Amino acid sequence: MVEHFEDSELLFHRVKNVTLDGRNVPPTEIGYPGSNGMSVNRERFSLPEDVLWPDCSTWGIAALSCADIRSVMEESGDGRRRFTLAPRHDPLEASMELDQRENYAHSLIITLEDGRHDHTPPTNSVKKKIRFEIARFLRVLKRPT
Amino acid sequence: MDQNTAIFEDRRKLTTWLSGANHSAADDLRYDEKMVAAYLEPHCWLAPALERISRLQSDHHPGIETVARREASTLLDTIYYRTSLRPTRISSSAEGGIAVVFEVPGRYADVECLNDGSVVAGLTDFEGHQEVHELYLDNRTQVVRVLREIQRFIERP
Repeated sequence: MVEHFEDSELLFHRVKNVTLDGRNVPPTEIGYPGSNGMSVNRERFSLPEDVLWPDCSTWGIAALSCADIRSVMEESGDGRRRFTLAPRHDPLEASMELDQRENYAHSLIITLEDGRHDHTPPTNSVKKKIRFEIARFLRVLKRPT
Repeated sequence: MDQNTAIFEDRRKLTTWLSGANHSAADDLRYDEKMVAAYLEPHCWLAPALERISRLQSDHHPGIETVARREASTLLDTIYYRTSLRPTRISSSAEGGIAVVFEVPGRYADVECLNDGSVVAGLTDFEGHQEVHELYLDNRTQVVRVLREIQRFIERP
């Protein structure tokens, strides 16, 4: 596991739908990075098209930088809770039981509250703001076919 | 009951009948073929949209619960009868539920009816401007106000 992510490192994410102009990912396609995080591949150990392997060849590819992720900060309505995002390297080992292939580039975008991953989920409004922020930074590299 | 109210109530009954939600409503109707045909014209998007909500499934998002379908139907009702908005599409949500999407190049808005019964609206230009509103569908005034904000955002030059 390599914990360090440069700000300039890209994170690749496969997407099934894009906006009408093909440039962005609709926020409704992006789940809130909850306790399981948002699954991505890190640029340091992969090529963009690796996120489509083995059976998602018709999907699209989008990317955002670690700097973008780290710039996201949302607060609860009363201002008492503050949420940020961070990348985390999460290499996957091959597992027949889990029907999982090896993927050393696998990483997660996780949500932190005051620096802690383990926290009570925020309200749906805050979750949606975070999803919209991620959508704002995700740029489509390849459109779905 | 004045004429406008009567027309409004008739349209609601016809829409309910067309959506299949309450077939017994047809028993109360005394429509001639001309009136039914008028409501089935292509510009009447509500009935097909309600049909889509009732049948929508997703192969890459969580399943859609009945509560989300019910809230989405109520939402579409409000959009159709209280605004001049027309959804761009209706799709599943990555959070589990149904999204009613309004979109033009460079501007996007959606209202998500989620499996936990909540309804949340959002809009963005993907350049830094975004708003999020939690909606309460029984508060028609609030819902219409937010929908009109969405309309102004989507339709501005």
